[in-house]
Amino acid sequence: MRVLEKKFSEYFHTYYRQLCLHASHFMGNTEEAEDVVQETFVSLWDKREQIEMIKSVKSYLYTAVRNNCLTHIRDAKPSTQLDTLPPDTLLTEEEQENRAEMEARIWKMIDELPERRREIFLMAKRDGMSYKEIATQTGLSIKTVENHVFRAMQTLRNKDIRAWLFFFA
Amino acid sequence: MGQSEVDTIEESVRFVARHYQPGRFDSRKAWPQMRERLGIATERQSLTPLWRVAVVAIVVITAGILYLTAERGDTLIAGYDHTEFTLPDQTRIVMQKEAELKYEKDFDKTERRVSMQGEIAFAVTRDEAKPFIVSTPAAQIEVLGTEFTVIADNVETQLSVKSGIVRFTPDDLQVPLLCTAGMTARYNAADETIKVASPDSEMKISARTQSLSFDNIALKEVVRILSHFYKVKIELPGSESELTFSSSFTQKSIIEIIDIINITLDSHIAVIIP
Repeated sequence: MRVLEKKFSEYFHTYYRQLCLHASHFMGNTEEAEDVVQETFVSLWDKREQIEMIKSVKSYLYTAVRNNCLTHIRDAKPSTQLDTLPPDTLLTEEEQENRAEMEARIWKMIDELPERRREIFLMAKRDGMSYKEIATQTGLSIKTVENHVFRAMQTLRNKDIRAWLFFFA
Repeated sequence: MGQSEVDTIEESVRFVARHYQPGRFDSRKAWPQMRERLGIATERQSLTPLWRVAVVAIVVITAGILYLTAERGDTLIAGYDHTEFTLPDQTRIVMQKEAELKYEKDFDKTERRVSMQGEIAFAVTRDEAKPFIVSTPAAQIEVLGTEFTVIADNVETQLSVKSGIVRFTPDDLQVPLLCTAGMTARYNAADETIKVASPDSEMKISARTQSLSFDNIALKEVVRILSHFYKVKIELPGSESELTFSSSFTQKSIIEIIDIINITLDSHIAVIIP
């Protein structure tokens, strides 16, 4: 692969997931979020000769993804006043980047959970089920369910959660 | 951990859990389509040896560098990223993984010549008597004493200059380009195109399509490029040398180009007829 292609693919693999998560804060569904991120990478490719000139490719990508999301939303519904959208602007750009990185780490952690633990974790955190409800559904004891969720959160805390917390301190 | 921090983490965890699907947002899955969409080729490039070393006297593996000494000279191959090494003239280099550098036994006699592939950053010791020359498969890079990075493979060479002035000459084009701090020059031998970019200007020359494009380039540099490309002498009034020029030409004769420049800039450049 040419030099540029190699650099480009490095950026793609490094930032893809966190950008998809970042986009998911703006877009209604994950397919659209992923589409926007891919389109953003296509336009970065169009600018590839200038990649060296961009001080922070990361910031560029985050800003471009956000802008492309807003454009999409506005184009889908021309009457939308962008000011009336639920604001994700309570966070600074840097905070948004850190949040997305954090979310990417959480995602990876969930990916790496043993299947059973992941099922239970998602029931608790995604479906909002109580430990009792999960216990009933799975036939496990409440204590075991509690244990699974606790262990999963522990894994998360042990990985570099502190770095992210620093920005919110 | 404060309560608000716990809440923020909890919020993020729930957000991720809501969107989570195994295999979703996976860059390894998305890459093949993206590569196809952008028209990127898939063949692997393997580094081919620059010389066939007939006799290897010593093979030493020290701190990530494979160091081969033969009668003709020495070869270094970096095993890791950011491998540092100091050349016999005290020039310091930093090699990325798999980069190769060779120099002959007479390095630092009358000149300092090395050949390389891969990615290497140089901090060259100043020696005006002996030019430092980096030879890549597609280009020659000549410096007096400066800092720059070269990335090269069989077909493409890229130079980024950190400080000083570096002369970059693609083998096929024979147009020497002067690169200063903050500039990047890239030459691709497959499409015979060179692109030189700095923060506020850009220039592209393609031998294949006989096209030149300038974006905010000083007229004296434009004239220098044109005279090498078309092999003519061009005169330029000193007062006009810093005028900047932006335009492109495809398959035009040197006379047409000079006319266009003069009309555009109200300048007075002319070919010198011997």
